[in-house]
Amino acid sequence: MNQPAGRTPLLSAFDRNCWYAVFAWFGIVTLMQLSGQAQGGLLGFWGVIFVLVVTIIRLILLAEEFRHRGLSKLRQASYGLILLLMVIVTIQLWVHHRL
Amino acid sequence: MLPVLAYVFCGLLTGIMGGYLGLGGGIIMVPYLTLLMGLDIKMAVPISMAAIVVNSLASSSEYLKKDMVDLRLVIILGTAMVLGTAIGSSSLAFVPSNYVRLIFCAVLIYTAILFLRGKGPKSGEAAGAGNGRQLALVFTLTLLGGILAGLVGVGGGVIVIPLMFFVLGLPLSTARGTSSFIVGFAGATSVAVYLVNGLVDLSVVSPVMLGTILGGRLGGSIGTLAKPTAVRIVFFILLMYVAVKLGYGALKEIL
Repeated sequence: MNQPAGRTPLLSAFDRNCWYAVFAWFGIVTLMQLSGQAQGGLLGFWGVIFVLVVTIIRLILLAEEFRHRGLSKLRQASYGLILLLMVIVTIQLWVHHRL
Repeated sequence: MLPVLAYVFCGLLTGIMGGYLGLGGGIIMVPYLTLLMGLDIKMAVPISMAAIVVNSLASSSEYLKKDMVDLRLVIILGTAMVLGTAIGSSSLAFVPSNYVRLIFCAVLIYTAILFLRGKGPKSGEAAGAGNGRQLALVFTLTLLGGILAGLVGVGGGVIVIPLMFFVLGLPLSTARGTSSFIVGFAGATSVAVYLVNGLVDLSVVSPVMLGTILGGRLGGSIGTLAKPTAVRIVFFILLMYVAVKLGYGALKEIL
């Protein structure tokens, strides 16, 4: 079980590009805040949404990495984790709105 | 202008420390935001959680590049951590959290001492360790650790790294790299809930995220080059700090 990642070109490239995108996004929003522009808050909101979407895509890429290696159980577990995240968020939101 | 730059610095500091150790960095960010910036804890925690997710993205890619991530453990222990954290934070109202904090505090002190004494696995053991039984044990412990983390409001890194290092026999560098992925997935769940409920302060989150994404990359790069002894000492200090902070708070409320 103690094996490192090995070659994960897709995931590495995705992470690298997302780093630039997130850096640019929040850099622009911070500059807008520094110059006193009101739209900064809304762009910040979409930045956080973007980061959450990136997290889900990373899990999907991880699952596909497992598919390439023939590790079907781990691929299923990856999609299971995505499902689990969605279920937890849905339940917590439902509970919050009921209260 | 000054507060915005102070938030960027906060993110930078958290990113460097978190990326270096493979933690989320919440134990640095929350005290900074509450004590230095005067934010309410209910505002600081969602921002810290958002930063944890960004920090994971920034630092884990550095670990991934250097082959310091066990992707199978990311999924297996990530599932346990996400599940545990959800159970822990949901059952906060029904459990006497002060006693849980004290137990957790004892566990942290014990782990810190183990780290300092350097009783980790020898390099030869690491290659053969991590069989099914050990993995089942670590999965269960991560689940329980996740519940504790959810109850006391700390990230999962301080739990999952010692487990991978001491029980599974993973090298400390791989344990940190793997943890940097796991904390991101666990944090994303909380951020989604906070965001939809309007609990994320959007004027603070952007400069913090900017600092964290920079610091995380920097911390991840330093972390991949760090010497195990230095990491163990930093870990010891950090674990003791968290233990004292949790223990003191719990004792103050009990007595």
